[in-house]
Amino acid sequence: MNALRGRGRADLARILTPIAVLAVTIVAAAALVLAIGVSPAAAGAAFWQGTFGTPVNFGTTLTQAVPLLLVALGWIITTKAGRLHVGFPGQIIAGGTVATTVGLLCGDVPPIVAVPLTALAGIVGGALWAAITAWLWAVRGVLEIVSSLLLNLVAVQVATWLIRGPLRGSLDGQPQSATFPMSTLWPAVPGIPGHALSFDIVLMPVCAVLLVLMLARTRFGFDVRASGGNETAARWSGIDPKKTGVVAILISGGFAGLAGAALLFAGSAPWMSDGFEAGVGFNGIAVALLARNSPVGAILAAIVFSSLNVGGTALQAKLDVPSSLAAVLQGAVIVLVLLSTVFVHVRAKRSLTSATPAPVPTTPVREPAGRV
Amino acid sequence: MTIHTDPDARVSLKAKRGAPALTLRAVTKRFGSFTANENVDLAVAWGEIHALLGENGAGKTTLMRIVTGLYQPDEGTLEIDGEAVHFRRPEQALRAGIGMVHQHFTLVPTLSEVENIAMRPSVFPWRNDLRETQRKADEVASATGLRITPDRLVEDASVSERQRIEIVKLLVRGASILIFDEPSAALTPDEWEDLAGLMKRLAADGHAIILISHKLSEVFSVADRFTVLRRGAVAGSGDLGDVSAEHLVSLMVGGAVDPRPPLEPSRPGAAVLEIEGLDVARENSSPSAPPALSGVGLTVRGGEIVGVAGVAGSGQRELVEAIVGVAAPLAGTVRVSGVAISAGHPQHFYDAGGALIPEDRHHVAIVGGMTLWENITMRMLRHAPLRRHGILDTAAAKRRARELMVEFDVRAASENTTIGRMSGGNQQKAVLARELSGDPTLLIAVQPVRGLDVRATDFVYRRLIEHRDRGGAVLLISMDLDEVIAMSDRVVVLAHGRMQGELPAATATRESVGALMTSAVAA
Amino acid sequence: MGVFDIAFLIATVTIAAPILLAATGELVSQRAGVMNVGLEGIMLGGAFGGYLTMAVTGSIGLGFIGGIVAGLLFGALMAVLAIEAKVDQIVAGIAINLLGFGVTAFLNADLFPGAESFTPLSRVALPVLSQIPVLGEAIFTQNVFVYAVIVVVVGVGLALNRTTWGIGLKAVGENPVAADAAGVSVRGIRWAGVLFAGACAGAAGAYVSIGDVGVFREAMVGGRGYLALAAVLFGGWRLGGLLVAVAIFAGADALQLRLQASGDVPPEVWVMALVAVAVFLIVGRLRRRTAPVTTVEIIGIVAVLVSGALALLQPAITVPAPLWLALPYVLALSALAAGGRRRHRAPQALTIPYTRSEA
Repeated sequence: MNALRGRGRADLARILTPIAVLAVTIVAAAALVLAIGVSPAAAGAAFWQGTFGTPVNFGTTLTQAVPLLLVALGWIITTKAGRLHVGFPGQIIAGGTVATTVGLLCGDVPPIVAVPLTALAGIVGGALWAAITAWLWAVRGVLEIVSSLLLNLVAVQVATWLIRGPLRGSLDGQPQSATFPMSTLWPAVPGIPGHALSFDIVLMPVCAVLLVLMLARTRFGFDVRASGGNETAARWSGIDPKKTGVVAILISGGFAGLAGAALLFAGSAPWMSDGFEAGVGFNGIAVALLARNSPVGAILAAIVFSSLNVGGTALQAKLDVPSSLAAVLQGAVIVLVLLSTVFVHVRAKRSLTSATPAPVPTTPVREPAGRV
Repeated sequence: MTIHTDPDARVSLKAKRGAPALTLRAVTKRFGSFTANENVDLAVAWGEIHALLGENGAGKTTLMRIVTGLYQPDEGTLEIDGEAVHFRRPEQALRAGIGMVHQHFTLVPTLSEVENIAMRPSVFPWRNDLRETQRKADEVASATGLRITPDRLVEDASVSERQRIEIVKLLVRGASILIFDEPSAALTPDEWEDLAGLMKRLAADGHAIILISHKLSEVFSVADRFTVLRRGAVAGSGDLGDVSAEHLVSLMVGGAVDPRPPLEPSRPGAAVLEIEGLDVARENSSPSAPPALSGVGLTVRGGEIVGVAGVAGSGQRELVEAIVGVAAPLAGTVRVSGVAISAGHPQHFYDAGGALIPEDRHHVAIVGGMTLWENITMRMLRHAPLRRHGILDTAAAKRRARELMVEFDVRAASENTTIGRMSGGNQQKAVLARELSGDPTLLIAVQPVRGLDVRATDFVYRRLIEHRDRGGAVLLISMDLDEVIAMSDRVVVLAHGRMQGELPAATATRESVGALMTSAVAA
Repeated sequence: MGVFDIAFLIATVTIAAPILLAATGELVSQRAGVMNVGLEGIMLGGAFGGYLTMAVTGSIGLGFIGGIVAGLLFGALMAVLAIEAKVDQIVAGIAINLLGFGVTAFLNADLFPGAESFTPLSRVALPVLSQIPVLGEAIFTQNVFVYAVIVVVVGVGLALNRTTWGIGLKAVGENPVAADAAGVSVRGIRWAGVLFAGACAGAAGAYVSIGDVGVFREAMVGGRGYLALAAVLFGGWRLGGLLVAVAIFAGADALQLRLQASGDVPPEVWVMALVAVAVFLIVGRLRRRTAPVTTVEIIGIVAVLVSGALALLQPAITVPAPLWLALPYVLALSALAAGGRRRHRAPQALTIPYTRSEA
């Protein structure tokens, strides 16, 4: 009885926390906007108009949510496996680069083949870049967080070189690739102008549900959760946490690489340029945190974050509010989410101690970050 | 009130002998609706060795945490020298002269011995107290005979040496009320004799000593008075000279205890576990250090329980790791039911019919964040029918888990309960359910009843014996000599990584097993 | 010898100083058991804090104090998340990175629409010491910040090994239960460690903006925070190892700056690579004489042969500038990968929050 009530309360907290976080974020945004001398009401109206107000803007918001969600799913599977890597920006760039290369070669291929080929190329590229992190961790014992941070910086420079060198389009020396062939561009909903709403939004429910099923109903998903929950116990019970961790990192790289392909082939500009990654790699992590690592909840969170980006640009265009407002809010959202989980934890712990005297390890047991 | 190691203070401590040192009056401590300590009175005098007895979960730990300032009592008072004291932080208890020798030593392995002793909050943190600490340690050495090796790293010290460092650490800080928590767990019988002598000397010097133990023989050999806790309350106290061991046991468990019937003679069958010439390196140490195991050979047959006796750190962990295949040995072979176990593939051990009840449930046996059914079926999920083409049949797995919960008396709201939230006894039963449900041919049990109460202990023992009687092989590894002798058909002694000999359990005694352990020290 | 002249050494020291300061702070924090991945964000905060303060006051000294205050604020946020809230430290660090980038970019765009620039720190030759050949010019004819970094590093070295505080700090990172039992405040020491790391990163960030170039740009720290983090791990959580790591990373950065300009790769670079790899191989061999040849060693020997061949043949190889920019990071990765199993383990309680009831 008591346990049931506690469960209901925990579920309520799960739903209420993100809402409370958003409310605080909106207040903070209003305060910031006010501080630089813009009326919050005007800003709110401009924001709404720029994100959900017109079919084109709404389509853009949804389409831009796709890469964010894909990265979030990648983060979810790696954290479930107990691995924390942040190499998504690098993997997006790597996936985007490989997809660009393949796409530029696919000029004469019909769309039915070319489009999946670019997506596959993105996945392969992202997974290959992630494979470096996975190898360094599993074989050389390099902490995945550190190697992935450094690999992000390397990927940026390599991409910078590629679009000024081998991949540069012939047009007027701009640092960008040639324009992608029409047949490779991912299809968009016809009724909405400017290819604003790409069909790749079906990836959102499909990938999220697939991930949920994989974690809950497959042996690999079980291994992932056991390895992440208690690496030692997993190893002693015959699971290979290293193999599981490597596969999880590769899958997350695949997700990020697919996000890279989506950014290019379903994005606003049909060519690869500097900075096409646009902070999606780190913001995807924030999306997963806001959704508290729930793949389905991440769909909503991704749309929220996407609207912050799209709306931030609209605010800059209309009211001259710096577009980095979005970055401030996104950072604030993560900090608030972290603090709120603690608040929920403390409450849960208190109700728990009243029921059983034995202290319960609520924090997952993680191996100390022992090896470099 | 501070006590210094200088001679004057020592004399004054001696002069106080017999006067009340530490007095607890009507101490009550609650956690939510659970009462850990209820109206506990405890009186310890200077110069006295006071035994604190009780089963696991009787409230000894909570009481000592109150005394050492980790918890604050909800009701009741603490007095030292008859004056009321209030500890809000451990630091205050230390300053008042209360020091505890923990069962799991509170030392930092990567610091040197003298640095460990110098570790303390300091008024001027930029000061370098090492020389001063060394001087005080020398004083303690001349007064008690306890010597340290100042510049050696603690990780290079043996278990009994670490215990010595712990005691010196407390004496250097001026502790005059010393609490020993199960101090003999990691000691050979000889080392225990040394410690007992030291405790008596310290008491003769005027120190007040509280000994927490469940080994009555040890309690009777050193302590003067006793207090028994049961379910958080005092069940009895008095002079040890006035009571019998049977009386103390009945106070601890609340009634007479039926002694377990002696084991039926075993009918050993074919060899199930064969270990030959096993060498295992010590973890995290230089190649020149002695190996954790050298030349270990052992055979366990079906239908018998073989007990491995040895103090903590004799190589038990490495032995289990090598048998299960978690760590790679330097040399030697391990076969389970004729199948050679290769390192890095614990799966082979389980496929060959092995099962393991590890000592450290939380780290090794369960995934605390996952549900009860997932933990129980963790291994079954690897095979058909619960797994087909990598897809799990969760409904069937839950059904199986429910059956096992009934069979092994695992109490939980449902199979969906998170296992980390269950009590230790129920977690252990869940592990037992998982390990015994696959009809293993070989069961390895490491300290299987540690931390369990009498009823749960009995349950586990009965299951082990049933398993043996059905023809299964059991390797029982324990640091508790009495447990090994009572539960085994054969006893092998492991000391300093070597097998020191074998005794039939029927004729083995603490003394004969202890002698085998000690012979290794001399060698 | 061409590329490796005094100017190269001076550049290395200048580049190393902020990385070394941030890494030293991070070392203290990690020895206390808190891994702060948010170093990059904190440095950005320090860079902007310093720039803002200098814009308001006009004093470079106050500017550095502003940077330190900004670093302390971010450090305090990290401490609240990691020590009080017991959030996963790595996740908390990621949050700080995002926040540091966002807040500084937003405020910079709002407050300084047109960038203002100031005069950076000038060089001060120390009497007597600057007369020492080579070293005098490289180390003792630097700006005040470099000298301050040297003082801080020496101070931390003394504090870690020669004081009660250092013993307590190491104990808290290694075995907080033991420290707590001895009355050492785990919380207090961890707070001190995280705040110290924040102050160091803040000062290092201020140097990047006002001390070095006299201007603030979005994301201008450019990975120095990540390099500092890598240096702590590669250095095996020891000050000595950390110095070696920072020297390698800063040397690589100084090298790429010169080579970007020079076009062809001059032969002395190959000689230098040959010597560096050979020294690494020999040192590794001496440590474990009898062990079989490892993959790393085979790769190393191949690298020695290739660089030897390149030094002799002197082919005209040009490397595009972006790839030179990636050199320090690639080198940091290779160093971490080649390090493999180290003698020095991480502090055992690193990234694990301390809860007393588990004691």
